[in-house]
Amino acid sequence: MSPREWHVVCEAFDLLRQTPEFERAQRMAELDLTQELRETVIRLLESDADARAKGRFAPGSLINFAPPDSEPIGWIGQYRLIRRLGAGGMGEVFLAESTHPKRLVALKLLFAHQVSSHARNRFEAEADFLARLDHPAVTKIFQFDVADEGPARNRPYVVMEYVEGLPLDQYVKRQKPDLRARIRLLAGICAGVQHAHQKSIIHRDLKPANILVAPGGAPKIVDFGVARFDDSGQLVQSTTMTGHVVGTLAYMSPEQLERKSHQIDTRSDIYALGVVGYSLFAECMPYDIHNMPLAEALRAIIRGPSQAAWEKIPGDLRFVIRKAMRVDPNARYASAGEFEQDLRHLLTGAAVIARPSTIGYELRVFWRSHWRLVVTVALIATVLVSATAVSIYFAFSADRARVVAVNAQSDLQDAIEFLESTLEQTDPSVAYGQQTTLRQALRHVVERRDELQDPGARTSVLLLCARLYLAIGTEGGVADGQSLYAEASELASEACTLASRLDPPDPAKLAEALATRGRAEFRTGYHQESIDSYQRAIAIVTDGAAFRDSALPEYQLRLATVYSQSGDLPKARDLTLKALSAIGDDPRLASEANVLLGDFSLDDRDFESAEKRFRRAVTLTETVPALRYLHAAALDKLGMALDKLGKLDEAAVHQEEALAMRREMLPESHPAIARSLLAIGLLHRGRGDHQGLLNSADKAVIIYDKAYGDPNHPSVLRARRWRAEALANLGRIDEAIEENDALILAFKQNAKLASDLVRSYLRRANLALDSGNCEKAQEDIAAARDAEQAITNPPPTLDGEFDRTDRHATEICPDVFGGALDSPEPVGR
Amino acid sequence: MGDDMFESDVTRLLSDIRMGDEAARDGLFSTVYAELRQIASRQMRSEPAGHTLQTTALVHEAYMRLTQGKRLDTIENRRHFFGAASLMMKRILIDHARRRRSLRRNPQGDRLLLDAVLDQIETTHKVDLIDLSDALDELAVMNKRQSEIVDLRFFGGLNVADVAEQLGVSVSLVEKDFAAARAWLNLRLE
Repeated sequence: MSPREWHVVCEAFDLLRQTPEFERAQRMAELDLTQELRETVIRLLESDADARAKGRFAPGSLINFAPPDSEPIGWIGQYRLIRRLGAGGMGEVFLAESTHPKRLVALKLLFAHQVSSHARNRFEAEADFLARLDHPAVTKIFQFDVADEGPARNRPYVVMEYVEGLPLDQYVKRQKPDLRARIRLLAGICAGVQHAHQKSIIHRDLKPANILVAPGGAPKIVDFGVARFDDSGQLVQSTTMTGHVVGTLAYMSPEQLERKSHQIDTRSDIYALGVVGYSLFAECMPYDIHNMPLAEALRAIIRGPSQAAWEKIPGDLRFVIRKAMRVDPNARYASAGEFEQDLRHLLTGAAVIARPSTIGYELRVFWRSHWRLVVTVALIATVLVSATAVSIYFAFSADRARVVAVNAQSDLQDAIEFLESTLEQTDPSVAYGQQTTLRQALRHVVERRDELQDPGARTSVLLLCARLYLAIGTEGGVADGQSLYAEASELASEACTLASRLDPPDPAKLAEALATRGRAEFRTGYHQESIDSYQRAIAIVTDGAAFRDSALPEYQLRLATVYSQSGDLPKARDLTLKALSAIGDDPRLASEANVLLGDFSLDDRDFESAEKRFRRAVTLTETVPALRYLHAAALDKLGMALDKLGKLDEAAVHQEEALAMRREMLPESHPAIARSLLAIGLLHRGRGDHQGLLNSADKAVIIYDKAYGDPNHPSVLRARRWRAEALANLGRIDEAIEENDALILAFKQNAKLASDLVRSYLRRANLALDSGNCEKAQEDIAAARDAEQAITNPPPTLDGEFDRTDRHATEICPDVFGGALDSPEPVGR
Repeated sequence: MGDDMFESDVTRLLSDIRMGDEAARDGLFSTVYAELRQIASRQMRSEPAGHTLQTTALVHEAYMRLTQGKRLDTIENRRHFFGAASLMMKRILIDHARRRRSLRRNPQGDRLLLDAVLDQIETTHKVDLIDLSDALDELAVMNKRQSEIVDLRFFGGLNVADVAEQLGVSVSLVEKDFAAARAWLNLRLE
């Protein structure tokens, strides 16, 4: 770096160093720096904190004037005792000087009364074992021996590396290292424990008093294995009520406390590391067991820390410590090394194993591994931001949503905390693997909803869950959409009941609950009930109790959708227009309204109006990253309208863009990808490229089948119908007929697909005509008529298909159909 | 070399250094270095082996002797002395480290002690002195003053006010420079 650049860096560094951390990013953004220099400044700031914590290059630190030599207390073997450093439960520790090699050592001399012959044998046996430890974070053990003369005669002693440092807790109190330094410290301790574990040595008594921190900030674990020669629980039994033992207790794993000695393994140390971490970050113990009788203290530990206790640890760190402190050893980190890695992940900002929560993933992985974030974000999105489009797409605006959450009402906070804590109990390691799905997580929340005391918060959670069930049903590509909708409906009803009894009343929340119920009812096919629910919601917000500005037009739009699906198009259109005028500049709702109006125009075959509406929707969503999914949908629709208008080239451009966007957001197996593929396939067909349609349809069939796990899912069948048509147009008549036979069988099974059944009969009739089989054609046309009559509201497009088939029939088989055939009367309109 | 002569030598050299004489700096260095070697070998001979395990004793003693001179009792002198001596200590140690790295000879009297000093510094501060010296040279290219501040503070044990006075700049500038230098070194030496 040139002196000039360095000068610039130093100025920025100095400025930011004096800026509170939460403002740094902003100040940094204001500075005119190249990316490279910016990164240098960031690294320097981190290094600054680190260097401060470690006390690096402190003034005069190079030259430590020697303290006056103390008079020797006496000799043990080749060691000259210089002074007593302290005493513990089992012995006293001296600073001593060894003659060969010449160095300062710590010498731990066991109390005479502690020495049984058993202990002494163990003691010697351990010597070679522990000498294997060689790691910077572990104090080296030099020698085990028994004094053979002098006043200490027959007392065993351990000679180990002398560390001039403070016990961890005192170090933290005095040095006040910052969070990152603390994380580094714990990671260093984990590394030492990992080393011991690799040598098959378990510490069993990890606690701050056994971890020294050298002046440079490096941790050193002492007393490895030393605890063991006083095993078989004597320590706890003999000194039950002393503070010393209680202090030690708190770091013992539940399996140690329960005396399941066969279960005590390396994971017990990981638990203790978790508690050490807890006290390091929270600066208090996870449980207050000081004044508890022993039995009660044990119960408290086995129960685990309270929610309030966990909140003392910030953010993802909480999840990391929590994972180390699991009661079930299998749920803890599998090794101290893994624990260390996750801590280092925190430092680098990478996703941690304990709580995967970063964005910047493949959505495929995202859906199964980041469900907790999805839930939280969806909750916020649902309750605060939006009432409709709850889907995985929201993940893209997760950061923004999190910020919103911070400022949310306490009610919402309660709800989020409840969600996080209950979801947390679905083991995240499992979630990270693969099995936990959002549905399992949701079920977990739903089952435990009674634990949420505050009725307002419970309402919010119920609403969230209902919406998520609806969202999974429509977006997640699941086979049993209906059972999800039913679940949603039940939860929404419960939310309505709760919301109507809130004290003080919360009409806005009630309206939200009603609207959610309305959506669920619509999905489950109860259109009239849905209309009632929406109307009640609209009445409430019209009275002025709007939860948010957009509530009224939003409910109106939803209601309009219900009207349109139940055939009441005029009402649907009126309501949509009304909503649109009230929407203002909310791009999401405005684009949805335009899409809806465009759909109405499509139905009216007014493709020009449809094109305008869809174009508007495209424009509205273009610049809003969070609305990318709507943008893709609008492009898709625009393509459809342009297709109808014969503007195939432009249509293709939009469809391709929609597909590209969806591929960016979604896994290749997502139904929306199949939809895009089909739309593009249809454009191919418009240009006479039937092979193109066949390819698209083939892919779509596979995707739908996989996504819904049901070969008879309507989407699968419809894609197959396009496949059949492509086959027919390619002259592969036999295959086409076969496909249509299968489709007719399948459509017959589902009353809701009656119009598809009609179409398939007509297709097969046309195929029969093509091969000159007039009789067969006649049969199929008759079957199509019968099927059509069973439909309450047949779509207008069916008429055209009948017309075309009839013309075809008259042409091919004038004898059979002649001119006598009238076009069918529209039925039930 | 008698003590008195040494003392006057040091004083003269100090005043020359004050006048900005680079050669005087080197002169002082060799004087001090020679003295340090003498102390070291004398100590190894006369004291029972391992009388003291304090590896910094050598440095301690050297400073004690060097600062006992009558004409060094003014604050100004002392400050300059520390400024110069800190650099000296640094150079002695780094020279020794380099030699040790390249020669791997059997250690002799003074070397043993210097080895001990080096070892202690390098383990306590988790820093390789040769690396540190290289880093400081590098830093000096970017900003000479920052490099000097580290010398004076880390090697010389001067406080911020002393460093500021020594360099003739403000205290806040020293603090600012030191923070940047420390962060950079910490990063560079990681």
